[in-house]
Amino acid sequence: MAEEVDFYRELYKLLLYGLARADYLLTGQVEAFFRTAIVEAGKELGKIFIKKLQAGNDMDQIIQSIIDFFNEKKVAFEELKVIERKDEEVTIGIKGCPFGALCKRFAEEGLKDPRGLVPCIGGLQIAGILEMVLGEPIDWEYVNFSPPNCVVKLKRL
Amino acid sequence: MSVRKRLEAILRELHERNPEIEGAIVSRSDGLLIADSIHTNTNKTLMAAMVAAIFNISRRTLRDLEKGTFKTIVLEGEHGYIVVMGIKANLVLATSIKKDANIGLVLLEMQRSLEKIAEEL
Repeated sequence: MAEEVDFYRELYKLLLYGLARADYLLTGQVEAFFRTAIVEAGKELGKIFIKKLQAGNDMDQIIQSIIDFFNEKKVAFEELKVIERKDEEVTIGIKGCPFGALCKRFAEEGLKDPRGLVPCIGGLQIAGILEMVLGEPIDWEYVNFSPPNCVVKLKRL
Repeated sequence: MSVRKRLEAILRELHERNPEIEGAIVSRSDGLLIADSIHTNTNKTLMAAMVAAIFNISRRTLRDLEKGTFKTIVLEGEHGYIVVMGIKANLVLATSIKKDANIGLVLLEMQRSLEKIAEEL
């Protein structure tokens, strides 16, 4: 019961839950509406980076700048860390994600994307920043789903 | 060659066979842009999300009203058409078509391209 109250106390979680649920009710899965909303939120955050980075910076540099920003300013996550870099992919460790309780709820209720994955709000936000700076679509997937400490892979198509 | 490049080649071939097609896009049903052959200043990312949304709601409506699996939706506007076709369970092919096009022929050609795209994915 205490957990439930906490969930509702942070109203943004309730609103994100509502957004995912609305998408699910209208389409049967958590799909384009939810993804677009979170990516757009990421792009809004990305406006901070666009001033510091030139278009054409490589994915590694951009990812590192994003991670440094999140870690230094203590934005959202407790910590982000690059675990592996490979060609057009970067694997990131997320520690203390604020959306952890939301993800657990999504998993319990079957609110999943077309691939059967619980939508990763943190991963989608970072993807949104990358899409904005690189000017191309970025996909994501879980390497390890264990909210609030997950490992996600971001990749250029 | 990456999947994206191969899909773009299929979309270019679709254009070459059908000059009435102004642009084509392949997206995942969560709105992720997979490939496109759009050469205007259109926001491709937004287009991918929009066609995915059309596909998702249409698919759900058909299913709930027991009309079976989604196949095609044709949007007719004053200046042309938008056609959305489903590829496998969660992918979408959409085209923008000129007003005076032979829609039946374009649909047949899209179906042919759709089969090639499905093989790549």
